[in-house]
Amino acid sequence: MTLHENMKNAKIIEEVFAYFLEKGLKEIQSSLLINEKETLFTIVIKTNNIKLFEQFKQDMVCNRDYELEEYGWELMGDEGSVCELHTLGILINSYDCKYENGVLEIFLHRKK
Amino acid sequence: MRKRLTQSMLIPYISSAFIILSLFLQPLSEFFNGYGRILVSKSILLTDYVAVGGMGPALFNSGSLMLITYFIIRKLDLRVTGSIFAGIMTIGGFAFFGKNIINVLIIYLGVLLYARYKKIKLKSVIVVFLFSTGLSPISSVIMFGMGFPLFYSIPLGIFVGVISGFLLVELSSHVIAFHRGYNLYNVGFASGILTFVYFSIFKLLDLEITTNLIYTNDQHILFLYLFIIICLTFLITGLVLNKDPLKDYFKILKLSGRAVTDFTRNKNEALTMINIGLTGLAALSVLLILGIHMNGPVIGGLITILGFSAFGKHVRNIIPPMLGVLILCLILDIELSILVVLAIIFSTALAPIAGEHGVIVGILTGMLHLPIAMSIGQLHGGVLLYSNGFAAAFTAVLVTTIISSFKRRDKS
Repeated sequence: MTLHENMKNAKIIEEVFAYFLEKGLKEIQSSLLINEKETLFTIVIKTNNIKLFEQFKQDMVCNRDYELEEYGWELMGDEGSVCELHTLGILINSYDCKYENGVLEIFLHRKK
Repeated sequence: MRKRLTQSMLIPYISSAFIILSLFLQPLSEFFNGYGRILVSKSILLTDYVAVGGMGPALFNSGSLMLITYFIIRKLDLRVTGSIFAGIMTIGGFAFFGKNIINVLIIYLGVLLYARYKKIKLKSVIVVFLFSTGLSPISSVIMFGMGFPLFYSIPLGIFVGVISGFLLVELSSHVIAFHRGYNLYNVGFASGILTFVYFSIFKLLDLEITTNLIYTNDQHILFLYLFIIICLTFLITGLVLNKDPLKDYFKILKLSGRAVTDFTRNKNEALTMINIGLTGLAALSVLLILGIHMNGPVIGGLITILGFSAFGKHVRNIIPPMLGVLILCLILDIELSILVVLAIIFSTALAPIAGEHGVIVGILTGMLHLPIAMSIGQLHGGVLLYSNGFAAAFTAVLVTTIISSFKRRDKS
């Protein structure tokens, strides 16, 4: 377990919300599930904008960096940083996303 | 071989070259005397170790500190990422004017104790571990610069240094939100807060700390060739190792560089090496056009720029703040003293502002940085090596506040 785990989880949600709010979205739902192996974040967005799906995949570079996350995690959620999603990427191990019937679902995996 | 070069980012080769070269620059007896003088100097700003101990010992000090730190990284089973490269090069750079094996290890011990106390691995706080040594002079100045008997001063210096390292980890991650990642020398700001407190206590207790202004330009040519060779080595190695299209380098130039942007992870090590070489040569060109001579602090600053060229700096975002400082000097007819030259070099801490908001804002940021950087020494009395990093946080917060204030509305 890393330091400030709960606060980091809260910041991840904040970062994701800030990112999509910046993109002009009005309806975003999220949930969080903590188990023994990982923390799973689920984000569900209703949108007709298929480009958003592609944009997210382009912006989200998952590259968990255990060394750097302790240094920079408090930057998450800040206006501006969310445009590039670099900071979120260093706290997430992997992600899945799918777009079906006007609903974008994103699953972020953060291993323990 | 390719893997070894990219994973090490050339650190062991450069540091070994420094060490070997250092042994041939003077007789060995002179070398040991000089190195001894470096270890017991009070190391406060501005203490050029070339002037204190000679070129060889200063070079050895830099090479050995980089190599020791590299071995620590390897021992922790870490690869040299952008942040770690920046940290090691910053140690190597400041080892020409303030960091030595004694005062660095004391601060390291504090961070190590923090990790033990929190029951976490040292590698999870490795970034702060590497940058924490900016307040190394606090130990040296207490041990060797206040006139106390060594029997008392050495334990006290060690105690204060260890406490500083211990506190710095939490402080660094908290204060990054203050300037929102626009100051690349974030630990400089955190260290500045601690040194401000120490300096205030010293003043209250009537303990006087006098700053130094010791430097020599005697080794200009050697430093100049050395730095050009380092830049070309990175540039050529990057070009040889790079498998991606060279046009991908321009993708680095498009990034703002705002913390935390690691070019080795965002792109790859080879492209990062190309960036290191080019950014170093660009910064050097600015100094040469101005006719600035090389000395310990100047080469230290340039090596720090090389380090951060893997962690946020590139040619497009470093030049505007440097120009800003320079333009203000021309307008106000300010002499290019060593402190102003360091402000030019370290104004690149604010590179992300130019990277995100463009050349004009970058230049204005540099202009604002100079007066802040010139007066911030009064807050820490020279005990803080990352003085410009401390100042840059205030500049960054002011500039970003102005920008936010004029922004009309959110997207909707």
